[in-house]
Amino acid sequence: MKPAQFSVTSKLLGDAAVIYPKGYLNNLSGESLVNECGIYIGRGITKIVVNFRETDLINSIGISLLLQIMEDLRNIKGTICCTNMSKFLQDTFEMLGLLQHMVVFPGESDAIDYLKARTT
Amino acid sequence: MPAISSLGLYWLIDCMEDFQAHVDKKDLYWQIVAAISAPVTAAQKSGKPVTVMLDDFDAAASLYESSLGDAHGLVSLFRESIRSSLCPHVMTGSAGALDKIFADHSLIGSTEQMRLGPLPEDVAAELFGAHLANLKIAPPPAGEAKFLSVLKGNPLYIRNLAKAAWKMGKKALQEKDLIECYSFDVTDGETAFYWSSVLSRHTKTPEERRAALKMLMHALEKGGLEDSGRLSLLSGFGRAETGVILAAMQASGIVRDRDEVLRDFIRCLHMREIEGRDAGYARQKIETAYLSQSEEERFELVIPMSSNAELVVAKAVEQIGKNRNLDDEFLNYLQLALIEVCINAMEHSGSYEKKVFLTFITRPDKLEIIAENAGRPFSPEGRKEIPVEEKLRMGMKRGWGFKLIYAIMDDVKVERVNDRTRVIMKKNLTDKEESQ
Repeated sequence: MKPAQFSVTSKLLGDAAVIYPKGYLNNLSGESLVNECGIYIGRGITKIVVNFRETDLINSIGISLLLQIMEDLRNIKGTICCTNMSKFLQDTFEMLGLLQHMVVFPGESDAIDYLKARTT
Repeated sequence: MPAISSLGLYWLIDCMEDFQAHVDKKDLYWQIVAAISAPVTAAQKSGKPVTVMLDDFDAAASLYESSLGDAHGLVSLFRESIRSSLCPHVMTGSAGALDKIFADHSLIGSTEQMRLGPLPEDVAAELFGAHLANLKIAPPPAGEAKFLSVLKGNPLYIRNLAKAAWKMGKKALQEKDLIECYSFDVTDGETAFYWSSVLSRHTKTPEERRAALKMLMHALEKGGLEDSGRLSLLSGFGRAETGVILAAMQASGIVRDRDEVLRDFIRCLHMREIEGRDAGYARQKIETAYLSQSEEERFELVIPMSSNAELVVAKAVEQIGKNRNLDDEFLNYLQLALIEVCINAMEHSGSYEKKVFLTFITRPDKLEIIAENAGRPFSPEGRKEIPVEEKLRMGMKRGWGFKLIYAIMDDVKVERVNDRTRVIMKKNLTDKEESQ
């Protein structure tokens, strides 16, 4: 584990926002993630992909903030997809019973294809 | 006698005849007086100072003539001899019990207390070597005597361990022999005899002794003797009687925090007198524990309760794991568990000290991590688990920390030790090594 300084970047792909949390996902960084998603939700985006390829480590506060994003999307009948999760991250979510509340894909493109198919 | 007269020690003959006269008259009181004053007489008659060493002087509180309790205040018989400038007395005993004795009106102002610290490591090793040399036993080679640190420089334990080696017929010692002799000493040796006598001296009946032993074991496991209700249940006596037993134990000096030898003695005695095990079983338990410890490594770390300090702990456990060639993914789980325990301490303790103390103990088959912090008590037992579906609807989405810790670690224990919360987490390491 080499926890990098946390940062969040994002891009819009069609009608879906792709979010890239990088580093250690804790309370402070979790808040930035919630804010970043909030910006897209505020602009009417209901499909969000969180790409965890650069997330080194997460703690329970980071997880609870991810739950906040899931709730925000659920309130607007949106969808959250998680991609590029390490086995450790997937197992951690599984331990907490979170996996059944999100759609998980191995890669970002799989998630985008899935979301496109849902539109058509 | 010829030697005594040739040296001109006629006063010594007088002393002995005087004592014999009291013996003939079966006068126990004056026998005690004669014995106590003999060193002073020797000093006065010879003109040379005589130092008197009185070990376990707290036992003087229960001096008696022919049966226990038939005479009180016999300790005052020491008053005259203690005050003699030619005859300094060095009395040893447990601090708590001596406090009580030195408060006796006859001794007030005649004594000065000194607390004895442990011998430094090199002096302790020298003393052990000297005892072994007297008993014609070869000392352990350099690097094979690490186990001696368990004795914490206590001269009594050092001497008793040497004697145990002699009783066991050892001619030379390696680390393993030391552990074997030690297990004998705390089970059947002189250390066991010493502490067992202390326990007997401060308990009046076999039932009280059993009650005291149960409470001592409780203190050892729970780290204290605060809960009087629980102690009363444990002892089988009422609260008041339990309080009396407890006070007697505290005065005897048998309630101690950092005396590992005493703790092992209590463990052994509990196995034998409460659990009904035999001495062989108790010895084996002690030996196994120390043999596995001799292969352990211990790391300690203190972190401030500040943002991202938990990452320092995560980094530490990563390196400890790498030293042991542990699998990366497995280490990620350990890091998460540790991060959670630190966050919990930071968020819930409200500690003014604002520090988390961590100890990592690695053994060939197990990793033990102890996290400790001052502040508010915390117990995960009372926490209700809320399903994810409900959390999604509620404002409060927290409360995952201990769920993760329990899921990741093999054994988790949360206890309160004085004003501190201690979390002990264990993880088996078998099959967790990285495949080469």
